[in-house]
Amino acid sequence: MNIELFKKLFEEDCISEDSFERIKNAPRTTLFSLHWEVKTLLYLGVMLLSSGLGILIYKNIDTIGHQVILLIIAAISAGCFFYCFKHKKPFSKELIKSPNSFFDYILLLGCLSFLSFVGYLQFQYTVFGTNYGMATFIPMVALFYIAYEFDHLGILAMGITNLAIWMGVSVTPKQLLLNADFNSQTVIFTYLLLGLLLLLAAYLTVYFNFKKHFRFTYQHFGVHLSFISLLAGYFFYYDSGFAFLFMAALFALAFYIYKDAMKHQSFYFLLLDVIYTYIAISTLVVRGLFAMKDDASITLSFMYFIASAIGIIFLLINLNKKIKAV
Amino acid sequence: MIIYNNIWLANLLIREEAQKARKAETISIEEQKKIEEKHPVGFYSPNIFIRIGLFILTCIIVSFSIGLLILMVSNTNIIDKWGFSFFVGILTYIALEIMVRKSNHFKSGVDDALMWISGGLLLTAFIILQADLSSNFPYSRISFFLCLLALYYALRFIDMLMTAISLFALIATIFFVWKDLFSWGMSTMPFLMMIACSGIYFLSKRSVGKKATLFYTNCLYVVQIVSLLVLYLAGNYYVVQSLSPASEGIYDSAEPATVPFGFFFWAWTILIPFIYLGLGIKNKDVIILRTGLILIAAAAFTFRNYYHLMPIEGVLSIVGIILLGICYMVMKYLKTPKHGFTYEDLEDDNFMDKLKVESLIVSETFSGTQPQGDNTRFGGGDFGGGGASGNF
Repeated sequence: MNIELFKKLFEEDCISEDSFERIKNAPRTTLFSLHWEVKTLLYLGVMLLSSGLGILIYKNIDTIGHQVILLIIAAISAGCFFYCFKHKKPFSKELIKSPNSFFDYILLLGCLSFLSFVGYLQFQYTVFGTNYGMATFIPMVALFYIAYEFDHLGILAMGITNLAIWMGVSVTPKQLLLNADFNSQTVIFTYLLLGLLLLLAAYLTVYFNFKKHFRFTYQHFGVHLSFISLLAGYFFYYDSGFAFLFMAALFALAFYIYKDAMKHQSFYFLLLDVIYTYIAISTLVVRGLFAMKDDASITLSFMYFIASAIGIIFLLINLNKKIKAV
Repeated sequence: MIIYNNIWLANLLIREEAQKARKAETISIEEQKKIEEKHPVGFYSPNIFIRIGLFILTCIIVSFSIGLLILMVSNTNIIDKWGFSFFVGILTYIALEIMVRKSNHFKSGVDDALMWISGGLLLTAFIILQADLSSNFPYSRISFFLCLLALYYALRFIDMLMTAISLFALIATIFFVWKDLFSWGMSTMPFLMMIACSGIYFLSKRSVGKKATLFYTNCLYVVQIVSLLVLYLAGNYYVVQSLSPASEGIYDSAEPATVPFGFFFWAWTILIPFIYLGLGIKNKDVIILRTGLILIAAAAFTFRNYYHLMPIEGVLSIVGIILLGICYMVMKYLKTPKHGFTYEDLEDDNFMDKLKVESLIVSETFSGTQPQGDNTRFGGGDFGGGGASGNF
């Protein structure tokens, strides 16, 4: 620590003599933390190992070795879960700090190898038959269970993604799997439903005080999904009056997110809210301007963007002040 | 030279020290508050989310203003002249100066955006001007101009990225000038680069902590990282081979040209990362330690490019297991802090934790393990950037 500086501060009467003494006697050398280095290496290790194993299965499908590989993967998964269950702390409704980062990543490795195990079983032996809903449902449930049991945010996010896949699959299984082009109308409504569900989940975690810190992850996916599906819906029904219903829903949602962000003092969601609402308003304004079918509409829309962006800047600055004051 | 109020900058540093002292529990919260009262900082620097928002919005404003300007002069042939870019670049720069001086923006997103746009426009103007003058594209002059321009921004606005760009441009300038200066320029290039980069590294290393460079500490760290990286790359076998005069015109990688002093460059490729790592641990220097870690990966890739010992999936799995093993051992070893090293995270509330970045990265990279479904919609990073302009 900078002794000279604190000497000056002491002379300016900012700090007491006791504090100054403590600073002078503080240990010269501070500890050097390798936390982030180790974490990055762990992440890389898990990523490399799981993708290496994935390619290994893929290349050895239909050969004699593949059952051995399958066994190895099952063993890795089982081993990881065994380690985690052995070292886990008792379940609690509150945040549980994991024993260490190694634990986190071993759990992740276990989940990943479990997923490739199930995926492989389905691909090679079609364990679930053509019931694709079931094939995605089981990993999803497992992921959510693991996320709650071990209090792991990364796995929760993976679970949410799997939930989306499961919902998408169960709505339009064949189209999604066989042809890449799916019925956008169904998909829009499915994902809108999913987004709202996630927002509800975010609300409920706080309401029941059950794993409150999971709120951010639910809310993050929920906000993006709902806003994007609402905008997609608007453009899908662009020519019919139905489109404006989507806009109305979007503004209602924006209001809710605004209140929620203010309550939780979240700058991130406030920013998302402002940006998505701005996109929505801008589409409406531009649509209105171009409906005039006038030469001036391009110039006017340019001016609109300049003026509105300046306005939004002031809005953001003010909201920032307001949220801090809450 | 610095555009910002120097007293406020100094006060920022004092506040940082006070924050550290409070974390170490040597001063109380009241004392910290008192220090902050006596050392006011008038900058407008909002948190990272507002900064991103302001950055996007400023980009929208500037691009639409330029669009409006182009609409107004679209009848004349002025747009593709260098003077137009120069004029707009200067206008943006003036706006930047005004925002910083009058509204005290300091890393607020507004100044970032204006800085990048004006820099880009001025560079464009210079490139157009140079392209008009001669048919040969003058790499060395352009990189030298970029070096000076970025250096100016870096010095005036204390910007880390601009520092990095300036240094890269400087190295590129040396490269191009030396290449054309002598017929044997390319064969001595690795050694020249090594000398230049180690010189820059030691210079920046010595300048840290001096009174004159007090506000540039972070920029000097950037200089160190860049010079260390380029120092390694200068002697990396793959880089040397692809740039060597012998391989000119040979694009067939099946029969690579041999490099003189090949042994020296192989030793450099493999050993330097570990030397960095060792120095980093010995001197407790985060910068050289992390650079070393990254470069070990680079050395591994270089090696694999020439010698295929086993198929890629085997390498991935084995390296993964080794990495996990190393981490396990390091964590076990450092359970109680030893030799001044610890595994514990010393900064408890950093930005990464707030955004739960780790969990998002995990879900982004690993959720593709199942082949089914369309999860392109789940881009966690969709900030709607520039989306407003795509609404037509």
